[in-house]
Order: sequence, then structure tokens, then C-alpha cells
Amino acid sequence: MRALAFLVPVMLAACNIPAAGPSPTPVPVEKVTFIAGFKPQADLPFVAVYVAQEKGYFRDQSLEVEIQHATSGEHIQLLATNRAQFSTGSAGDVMKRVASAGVPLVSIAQIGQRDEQSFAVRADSPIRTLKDWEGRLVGYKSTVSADYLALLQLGGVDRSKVREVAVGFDPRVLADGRVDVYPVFTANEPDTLARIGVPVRLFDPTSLGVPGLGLSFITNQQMVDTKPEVVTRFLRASLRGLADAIADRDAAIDVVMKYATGEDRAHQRYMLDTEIDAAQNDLTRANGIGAMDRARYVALRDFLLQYGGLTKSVDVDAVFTDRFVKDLYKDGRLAWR
Amino acid sequence: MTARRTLIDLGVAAVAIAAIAAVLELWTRAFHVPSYLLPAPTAVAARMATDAGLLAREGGITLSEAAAGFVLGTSVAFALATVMAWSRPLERTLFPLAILVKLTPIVAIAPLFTLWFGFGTAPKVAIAALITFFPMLVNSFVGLRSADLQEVAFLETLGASGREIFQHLRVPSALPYLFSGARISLNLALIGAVIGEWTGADRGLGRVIFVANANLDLTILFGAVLVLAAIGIAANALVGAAERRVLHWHPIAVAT
Repeated sequence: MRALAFLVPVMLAACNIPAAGPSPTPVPVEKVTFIAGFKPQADLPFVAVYVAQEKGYFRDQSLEVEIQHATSGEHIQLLATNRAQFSTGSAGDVMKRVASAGVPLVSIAQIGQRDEQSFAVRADSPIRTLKDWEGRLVGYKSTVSADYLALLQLGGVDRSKVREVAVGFDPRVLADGRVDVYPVFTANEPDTLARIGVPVRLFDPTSLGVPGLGLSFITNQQMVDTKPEVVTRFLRASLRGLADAIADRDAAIDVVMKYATGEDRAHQRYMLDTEIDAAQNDLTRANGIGAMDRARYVALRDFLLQYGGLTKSVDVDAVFTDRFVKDLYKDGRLAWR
Repeated sequence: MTARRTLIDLGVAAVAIAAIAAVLELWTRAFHVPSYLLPAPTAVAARMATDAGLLAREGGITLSEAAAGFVLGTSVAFALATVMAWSRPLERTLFPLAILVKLTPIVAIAPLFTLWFGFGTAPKVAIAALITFFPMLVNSFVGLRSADLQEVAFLETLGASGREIFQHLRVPSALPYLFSGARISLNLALIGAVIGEWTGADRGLGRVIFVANANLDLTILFGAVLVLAAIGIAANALVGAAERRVLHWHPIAVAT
């Protein structure tokens, strides 16, 4: 019996199953809306919410969660006006919107610990180093991004020798040879290109030392100020869903496919695997997935200011808070109650 | 008389616009609506004044793409309508293809135009041409077929050739329809150019709107939309003036 008492917690820890805390005191059910920042797909924060919904974790937390998906960025306004209470956004985008438009957004858990974007060249391309970008046609999706400019500086690239062109969001322009370097969302576009017979090599800004962060769970200032307990409950259930997704990726994709009707399952799995890798680093291994580090936010803000990603500075303490994530993890393990 | 009526029309439109702007101004101020949700009209006006040069330059680019697309799309449509009006078998063959073009969601295939035509103005012109094609085709076809059959028979008894009947009867009969098609197509051409600019461009009002939307910068977004609307209104007025001049003999010119 004593052996069993010892073994159970050890096995739970090995399976990354959250530790059970004291039984919850019954609380009134709260209706909230989560609007994913894009179409249904295996972006890790989306998966976390899908799985939490599927397994009843929100219900266990006395939450009734309606899941919606944004199609063209409307999630930010919906969140700002509290028509939705939770959403997703990259840390850089959150800073930009707080700084430039004063939108009251707050990041509450940092899921993606790496820059979402990389720069792809065809696998058979003679471009091997950043310096090789000189004389080449380099694409940008909508505006010239800060990470691109940082890479040019890191590589000692003379920007006047690089031809830049707006390429939109269709990676086939790289496959077609219309550009030499194409900015990709690391989690999905390399796989999209590989599937049409164009394997790529990546210049990954994070690996090259450029400060970048990926998707985070976000809410609005009103929720943080007036309903912090609801924020905590939402995050607790979502992070448990996320832990389940990491523990059983096939089962998680089963759930994703219920939302992402018509999508390719293998492609969704590629996305999930890539985002799980990007969600883990030394910080999260010590403090749990979703952990936030103020120093990284400061570095990101300063970097964006330096390269024109932000037009004016922003108080990082206004755009992120780690109080919820810190409360949810005990010794690096999610406390479930 | 026409000038006086035009002035009255413009005055009524200006009053209506001013009234709507006043309501919006009061609404945004009274309820402290943040600018990322709905900017006050005065804020939009101020931004348009500040960025007048940018809006004029980008508007000029969008206008040139739309104009090129309009000329291309309507020319091809008129040529095809002529063929269809000439031959029933060709009409039955080509019309389903024209409907296929009409039903194709432009937004879905717009990125392909970059793959086919490259990054320059060509894909924007092509999209504008494609979107203007169907209205002009239908109007041209119906117009060319609208010639009075008794008049056609009369000209034939006089020994007029098919070309002469086309030139002196069918085309004049079709003119009201052509102008009607042109009015619709002009505005569609502007929309087509903007869609083209959304899918990958570094210039044009479409890009201004795209970037403004991403940055939640609604003052410049609405500024660009208003410039686009102004271009559309001016283009329509131009077609209306041409219509009145060319069709001075037709009842439609009196009515417009």
C-alpha cells in the first residue's frame, strides 16, 4: 500500500498529468467566448482549448466556453470590447496593438517560445548564408518585418543589394521560383511546400539570436481587473488540455479534426509537432508550458523599437502578466483543482 | 437647367453626408468609442489632410490599375458579345463559360494571378479585367440583340451589309446598354484592383487598407475607403457626362 502511495504520484508526474489539488468549492457557471486568432487548425493554443472542451475541463472549472474562429483579425476588436473574453495573438502583435492603438490587451500565457516566422529557400538553392541574400529577390508578406531587418544586420547584408517584394500569403511563389527567399510561418508552410514537392531550408531568426516570441493566450484588461478567477480557471483548463495534447498527439489531432473539417490530418500533425517543439525551452521545463519571462518581453520590445516594428515604446508590464501562470504551476507541474 | 440640377443633386448629397458624419461624430464622442473600433469623422478628415499626398499617390496607382483592367475586360467582353450576338451556336457555347467566370470567387483565385502574371501591376489589371468582364458581356450582348428586327429587315432590303447593319444600327441600339454596363464595370474594376493589391502588393489603396487593418489604424483605413469612393463617384460622373453627350437623342440621357 505504501509502495502504491509512492508510485502513483511518480507515475502521474512521468505522464505529465496535472496534480490533483483540493476539491473545488462550487462556483456559478460563467459563460465566456474564446475566439481563436485564425481558422480552425492545430495551432497549439487552439488545440489546448479544443481538447479542454472535448474532455470537459472547462465544465469542471465551471466555465461554459463558446469557441469561435476569426477570419480576418476581428478577434482583437471583439476581445477589446469584451464580446470575446479570450483569444490568441503573437507577443509582438499584442505589443504593437497596445502601443499604436491603445487596445487593452494582456498576454496571460506564452505558448510559443520562438518567433513564428522563418525565411525559407528551396532546398536546392545556392543560398547558404544570409550574405547570399544580396542580389536575390526576397519576399515579405505584408510589410517588411523587424526580424527580417535584424537578420540582415546579423548577416552583414547590404540591404541596398537585396531586392524586396510583397508576396502575400501564398508560398507557391517560392515553389514557382518567383522569389528566392520567402517568409514562412514555420509551423505550417514548410510542410505545405514539401507536399507540393518543394522541400525547403530555413533561416530561423530565433536560432540566429533574434528575440522573438510566438502565440500567447490573450485576454482584455477588464477580465484581468474584474474577473481574475475566471481567467485563472480558463487557463487552468486550457493548459491541462495542452498537457493532454502533448501526452497523446494522435488523440489531440482527432479532436482538432472535429473543428478543422476538410483539413489534411498529416499536415495538422506536422503543425502540432512543430508548435509543441516551439513551446518548450529551459524556461518552460523549469516553470511549465506557458511560462513567461519579463526579460524576454523587454528584449522583444527593444528589438521591435530598434527595427521599426513598434512606432513608440510600450510598458511591458501593461501587455503581459505572469501572475496567472505562476499560480497554476507548483514545482513545474500544473495544479488541478 | 442641367447644371442647376447637378448643383442641387450635389448639395443634397453633401447635406446627407454631413448629417451622417455629424451623427457619427456625436456618437463616437458621447460614448467615447475608441478609434480602433470607429474613428470620429473629424479624426478621419484630419488624417486624410495629413496623409493627402500618400492617399493621392496610392489612389492614382489603384485608379491606373482599375482603368487598365476596365479597358481590357470591357473590350474583350464587347468582342465576345459581338460574336455571340452574331451566332446562336457560339452564344450557346460561350455563355456557360462566361457564367463560369462570373461565378468564380475572385478572392479565392486572386493569389494565383501572382503566380501567373508576376508581382507587378499585371495581376491587379487582370483581376480588374476579370471582374468587369461579365456585366459588360451581358449588357453588350443584350444591347446588340436589341436592335429592332423591322429596322434590320429594312436595312437588308436596302442592300446593307452585315458590317454596315452592325455599325449603323446594332451598335447605336446597344449604346444605352453599354453605358449601363460601363457604370457597373467601372466600380467593379476599382474593387478588383483593390483585391489584387490585397494579395501581394507594395503600392495602391488596397495595400493601404490591408496594412491599416492589420495595424488597427482605422483613420487611414477609412481615409483610403473614402478616397476609393471618391474615385468611383468621379468615374461614374464621367461616364454619366459621356452618356448624356453621346446619347443626347435617347430618352435615357434626359432621365439621367
